Amino acid sequence: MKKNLLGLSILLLLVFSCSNLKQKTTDDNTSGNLSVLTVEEFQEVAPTIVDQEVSITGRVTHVCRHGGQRLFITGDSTDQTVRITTGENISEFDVALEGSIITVRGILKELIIDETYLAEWEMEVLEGTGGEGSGHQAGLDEHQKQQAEMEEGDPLASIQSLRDEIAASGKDHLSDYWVETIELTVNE
Amino acid sequence: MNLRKWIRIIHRDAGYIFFGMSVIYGLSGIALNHIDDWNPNYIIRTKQIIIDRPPQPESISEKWIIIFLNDLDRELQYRNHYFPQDNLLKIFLKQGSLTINLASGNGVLETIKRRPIFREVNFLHYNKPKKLWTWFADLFAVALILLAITGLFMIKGKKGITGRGAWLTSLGIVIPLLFLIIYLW
Repeated sequence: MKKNLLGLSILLLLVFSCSNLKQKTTDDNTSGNLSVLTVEEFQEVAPTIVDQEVSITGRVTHVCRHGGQRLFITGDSTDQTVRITTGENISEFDVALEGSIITVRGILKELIIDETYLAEWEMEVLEGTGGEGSGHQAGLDEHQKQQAEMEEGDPLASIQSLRDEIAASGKDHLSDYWVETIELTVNE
Repeated sequence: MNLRKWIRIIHRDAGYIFFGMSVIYGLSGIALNHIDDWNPNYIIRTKQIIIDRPPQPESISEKWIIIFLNDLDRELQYRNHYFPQDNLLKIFLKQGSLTINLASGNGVLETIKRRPIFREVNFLHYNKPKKLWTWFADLFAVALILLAITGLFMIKGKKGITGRGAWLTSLGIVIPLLFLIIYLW
C-alpha cells in the first residue's frame, strides 16, 4: 500500500512539475528586442516583412471555439483585425483570452489568394473533397475556415466574395497576412 | 512457455497499461465524429436581450456597464469593454461576452463554460501537448495493433480464430471496406 502511495505521489509530482513548466513558457515571455507593432501599424508594414519575426499587440476580440487554433486582435483606432494562429510552443488558445490585451511574438505569414487558388478551392468544394486533411485543403484550411465563418458556412459564397474583392482591388491577387505564435504575453 | 501463453500475457498487460488511453481516444473519437453538431470543448449559450432606451456611446462608462450588468443578471462579472463600431458595444465578461447594438437596442449575451472531460480528452487526442505525448500516443497506436493481433489468438477451438472468430473478424474488415468502396474508390 505504502509503495503504491509513493508511486502515485511521484506521478502527481511529475504532472504538476510539467504544468508549472508550461505556465512559465506561456506567461513569462517577453518580446525581446523587437519593437511591438499595433494592429494599425501591422497592416502597413506586413507586405514588407513576410516570413520575418514580428511582435504585435492588441485586444483579443475572438478566439476560435472549435479547438482554439486561432484568435483575432484589434487596435484602439481601427475596426480591422489581425489573425493569430497557434505555433510550436502554444498548441491552443483559451477562450478566456477574449477581451485581454496581449502581445504576440511570432512569424508573419502570407497567403496569396489568386484565381488559381480560388479555382482549386472551388473544385474541391464542388467535388466534396474540400474537407480537412485533403491535400489542397491542408494548405487552405485556416483561410477557408475564416472565410466560411464570414459567409455563414457557405464556402462558395466566400469564394465569390473573394473574387469580387480581387476585381475591386485592381490587382491579380489578395494577400492574407497573419502571425504564427512563438510567444504570447497577456498584458491585461 | 508456449506462444499462446505469451500472447495472453502481452494482451493482458498491454490492455491494463492502455486502458486509460483507450477510454480517452474512444470518448474523443465520439466527440470528433460529431464535431459539426456540437462543440466538445465549450458549452456555449446565447440569449437575445433588448434594451428599451439604449444610451449614447459617449455616455457609456465602466460604472454604467457594471450597474447595467447587475440589473441584467447578478452573476455576470465585468472584465472590460470596447466599441468595434460606432454604435456597437462589446462587453467582455468573466462568463463570456455581451454585444449590444446601441442604435436598435438589440443585444446578444453569450456565455461560455469549459465542457469537462471532453475538452481534456480532445486536447490529448489532437496531440496538443506534442513532445513526449507524441511518443506515448505512438506507443499506444502500436499497442492497439498488437492488442488486435494478439486478441485473434487468445483462445483455441470453435470460438477461436478458426471458428466464430474468423467470421466476426471478417465482418469487422468487410464493413470498413464497404464504406471505402461506396464513398472513396
